[in-house]
Amino acid sequence: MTSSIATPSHSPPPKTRARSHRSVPARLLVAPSVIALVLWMVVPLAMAIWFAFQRYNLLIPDNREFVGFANFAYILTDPALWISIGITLVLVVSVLAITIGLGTLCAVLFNQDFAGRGIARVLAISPFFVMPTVSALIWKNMLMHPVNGLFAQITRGLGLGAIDWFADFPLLAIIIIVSWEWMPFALLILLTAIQSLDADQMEAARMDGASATQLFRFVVLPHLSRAIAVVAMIETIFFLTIFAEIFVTTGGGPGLATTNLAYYIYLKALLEFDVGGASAGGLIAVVLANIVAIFLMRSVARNLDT
Amino acid sequence: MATVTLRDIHKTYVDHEVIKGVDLDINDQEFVVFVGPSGCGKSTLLRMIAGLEDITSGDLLVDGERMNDVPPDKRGLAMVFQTYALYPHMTVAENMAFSLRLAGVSKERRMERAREVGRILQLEPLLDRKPKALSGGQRQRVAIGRALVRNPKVFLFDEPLSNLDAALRVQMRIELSGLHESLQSTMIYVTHDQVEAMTLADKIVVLQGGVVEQVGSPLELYHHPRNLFVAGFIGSPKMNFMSVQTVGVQDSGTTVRLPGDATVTVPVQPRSLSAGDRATLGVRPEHLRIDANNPTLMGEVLVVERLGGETYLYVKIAGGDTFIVQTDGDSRAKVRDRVPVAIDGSLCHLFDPSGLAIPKAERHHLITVQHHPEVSLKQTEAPREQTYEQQNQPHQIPRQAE
Repeated sequence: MTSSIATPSHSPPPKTRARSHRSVPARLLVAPSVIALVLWMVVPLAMAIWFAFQRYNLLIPDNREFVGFANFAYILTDPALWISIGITLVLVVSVLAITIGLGTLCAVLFNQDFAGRGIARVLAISPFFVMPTVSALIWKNMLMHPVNGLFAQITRGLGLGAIDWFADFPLLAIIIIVSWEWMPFALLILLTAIQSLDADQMEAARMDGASATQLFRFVVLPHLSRAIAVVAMIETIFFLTIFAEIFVTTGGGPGLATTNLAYYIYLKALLEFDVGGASAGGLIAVVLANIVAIFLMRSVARNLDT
Repeated sequence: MATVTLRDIHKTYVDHEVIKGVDLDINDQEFVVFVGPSGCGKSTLLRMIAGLEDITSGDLLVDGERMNDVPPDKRGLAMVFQTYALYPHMTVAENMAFSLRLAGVSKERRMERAREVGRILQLEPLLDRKPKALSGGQRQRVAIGRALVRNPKVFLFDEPLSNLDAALRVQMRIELSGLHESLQSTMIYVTHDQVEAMTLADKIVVLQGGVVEQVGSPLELYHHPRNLFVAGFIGSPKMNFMSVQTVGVQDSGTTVRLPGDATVTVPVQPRSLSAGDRATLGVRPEHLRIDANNPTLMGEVLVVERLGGETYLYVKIAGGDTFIVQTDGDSRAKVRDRVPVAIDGSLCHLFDPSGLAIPKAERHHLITVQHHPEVSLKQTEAPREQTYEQQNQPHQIPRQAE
């Protein structure tokens, strides 16, 4: 500091030279990953936009031409799209509510000291390590199956008859499966957040006269708000594109009862072979995701601020 | 009005005992400081009084009422934590009034009380801020405010100043003693800093290994330590100890021979020691002098620590012991010098082989046996000092906020 004050006229030029020296190879070195990233992101997006303005059906690939907004007009007037958007939102919101609600309660529970806590924690978190197709198959064939499933056996054993989950409550069944997969994630993040809660704060609140529920309401929950916001954001990104669970269990049915936006696009592209329509649907999904992301970012950013 | 009484308090964790039977009487309006090395159980004891730890056995009485099984918030105590433990998502006012909110007091009343306390602690301009936006000293003050709002019978402080820097610590120490004088409430304070203990306390409780070593006024502990531990713990730098042999016991004092064949007569009561017994001589660094005219023994300087105002010499004496000698800042002593050290027997302490101090023949003149006249004197002086404090602070706080 003293030297820069002593030689004010000399210090700036070397600094700028040093910066230019450093920046050229730095940019070169960063370039490969930036280029890869741009290709990765921009090329599919550009192609999707390009296809969205084409009539392009894989059954008649030669009959390809520019059709303007016809694909969008067709898709936006398709009632199935709006149904699928509605189902997507129901799925996201309900699974978020279930995973965060149960995750918070379980985090508080698993933060208590009890015998075998380590093993219990690992078991509670393990569903997250099972891949979606496998867990969907387990739920479909071993738990919710109306003949062989564990649930059916139990209810039948009680003389209540069996529930055919995927026929009678298909969306609820999907929500249960996805919640089972993702609750551990919420638990994991919230448990670490709870562990970082200052013990003195809890004790101060106890001295102030807080009951157990008041402790949770006024000390634990505000402390967790940040972690909850992060969990909500990450989970939303994944829940907007739930696919494997639907594909493996209900195939979007019965009817459109479990067709979310991702599955709708899949139906368009690979069952109807309408690439143009699917691309238009994809772009709508991008817009929807961005709207949700903006809301989330805002609320999370506000939460992270305080 | 609050007294706190501990009767044979024990605390056991699974299989090891951390508090081994503490008896203590804390009078109304008294400022009591628990000191001791880390792990001595002082914080545990405070937390047991607060109700944050269970009492394994014994009785805790507040105003004569048994409090062992009363929940923390019903004991009429308030605690200030070392880490302040403020609620980060609440403003200063909400932090301070949180206990009232839990008690179901209306919002206007709560904020009114928070403002009132904020005024006492000069926190008024900060009431709407979050703890994150405050400096360490301000957070400390909010933590004290949170305790004040509850109007407790007894204040508990758990090392409240140890997270502050040195200058702020001195300032907060003065403010705390001003607060004690103006509130006139009972305070229990835990610290490992003996300067805080000496300056703040009416009564110091020295703890070691879960046992009370001595209870007394700061000067009593300094001049009449009960045993080797208290003698070594109170005072900085630490008291020098040396193994000596008793050569004569008279009514006027006991004469002991030092390793270098010099003798010192310590004016203690002629009790347990008799000629020929081994004993331990203790003398504080500030009571040793470098004196060429009248040296008791010679020593070689090993280390010189110059603090400016004073100099500490680490002197190796005959017999291999090292003494710390406090001398003036202008001392010319250098490493490897041989220096003459004078020991004044009347300032020495003598301990029997079991480590217990042999009582001095006379009490130190500043220590009154009767505590009460001193206390009442303090009370009459209190208002003047308090106004002095309050005039002083508004100038200090804005500067600190900048």
